[in-house]
Amino acid sequence: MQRTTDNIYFQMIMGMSGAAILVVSFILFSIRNQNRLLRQRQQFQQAEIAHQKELLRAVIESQEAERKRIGQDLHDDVGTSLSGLRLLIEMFKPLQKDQHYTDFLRSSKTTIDKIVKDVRHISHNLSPATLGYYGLAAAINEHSDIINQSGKLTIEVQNRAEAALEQLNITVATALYRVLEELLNNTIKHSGASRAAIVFAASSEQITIEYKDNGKGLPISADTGRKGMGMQNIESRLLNINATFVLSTQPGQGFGIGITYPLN
Amino acid sequence: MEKFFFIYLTFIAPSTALIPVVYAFINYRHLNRAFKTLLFFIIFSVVMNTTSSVMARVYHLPTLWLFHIYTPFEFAFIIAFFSEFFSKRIRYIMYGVAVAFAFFCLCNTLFFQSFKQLDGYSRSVDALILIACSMLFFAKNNNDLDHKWGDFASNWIVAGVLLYYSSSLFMFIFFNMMTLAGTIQMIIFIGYATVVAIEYVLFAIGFNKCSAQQTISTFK
Repeated sequence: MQRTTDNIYFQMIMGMSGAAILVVSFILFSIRNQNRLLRQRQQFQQAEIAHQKELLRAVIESQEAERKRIGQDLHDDVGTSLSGLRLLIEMFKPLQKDQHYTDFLRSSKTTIDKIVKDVRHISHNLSPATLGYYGLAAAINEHSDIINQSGKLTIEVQNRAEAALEQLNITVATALYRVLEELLNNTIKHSGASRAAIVFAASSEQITIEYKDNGKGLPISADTGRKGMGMQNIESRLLNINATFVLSTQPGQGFGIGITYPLN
Repeated sequence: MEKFFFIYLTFIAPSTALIPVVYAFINYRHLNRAFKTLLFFIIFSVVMNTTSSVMARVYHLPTLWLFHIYTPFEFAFIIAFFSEFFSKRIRYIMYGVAVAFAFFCLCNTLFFQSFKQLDGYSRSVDALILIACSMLFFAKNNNDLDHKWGDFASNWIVAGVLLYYSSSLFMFIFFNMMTLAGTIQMIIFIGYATVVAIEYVLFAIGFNKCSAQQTISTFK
């Protein structure tokens, strides 16, 4: 009887220990398995995001290349042809002095001058040559000057990041230029602002761009900045260069955006 | 050494039940029905355990009959907890199982194991069904890949339930055959008390996780 009881006690201890080990192992394997699946899914999602970013980059780059080609064609071919046409009209002189001809000549030259100017603007907008030759700050200054000349909006540009901006590669510079161009466009079209300010600053780790206008602003909500194509373009261009942005806007208090581009 | 074992079995291990109770009250407003049911179960366990301890240690009265009352209520509480994670149809089936189990406990007490013995048959069946429920719970809910396993409060609770009933199953089966008091019996009781303490710690972690809404969705 003593032996049987000892046996039962031993079996109980073995049974309890065995069951505990089984359960603990089962739970640990479950945790490991679920965490591994979770990690795999996160890796898959990251790969998907990277792929989408790559696609976006390819789209933006091909768009820029196409803009550059069209801009150059407009400037070189259409611009040259129009200048030739202007010369031709000027060279042609009737045998007798005719008032109708003089009026026609003046009106033709004015129209051609206007078309040349428009073509130059379009060409510049499509592919700002200054950006490639002199960098982002010069291109923004040039673009601001053109807008300032219109008298509708006064843009003040402060550059406290000259060295950092000069070292930016053309892809990043183009992206930031397009973003600022879009912001200025939005200010002109929608804000009713009279003044806008762009401040470039840099540290060893990042370049920051502060943009602000004194227009009517926007109500801050979850979908602020996601309504129009313009803001979507800004978001996708900044995402493509790993830059981040923070909107600061209130109705009646102007629109502001802070852009941060990491240098490393 | 025996004094330490006495203190461990009588005071330290049972008092671990207060840890999940404290966490549950701290996060009470975040608790859903399943967790509130579990809280009531722990309070019920504490009351029964204290009663049993006082009767045995202070008045030297037999206490095994208390388990005959405790078992169907314990089963009903934990089934009610599990039922919150399953659909309405399965929930009603589980309620039916709880009623049938209560009837089984009554028959067991009347015809098979008297009040003088531990209701080993009932507790073994109780443990087997709750182990099955725990496995069903994990099978159903471990497919969520939006969060880590440990983020879900209910996972910790069910891990505690599974560990306790699996480890105690052999003790419930053989308890009535333990006739000789001695070191080996003490080892078994200490092992059992330790598993209970671990179960309460896991419950406490589960209640603590409730504060940030990490529970697996329950059916309304």
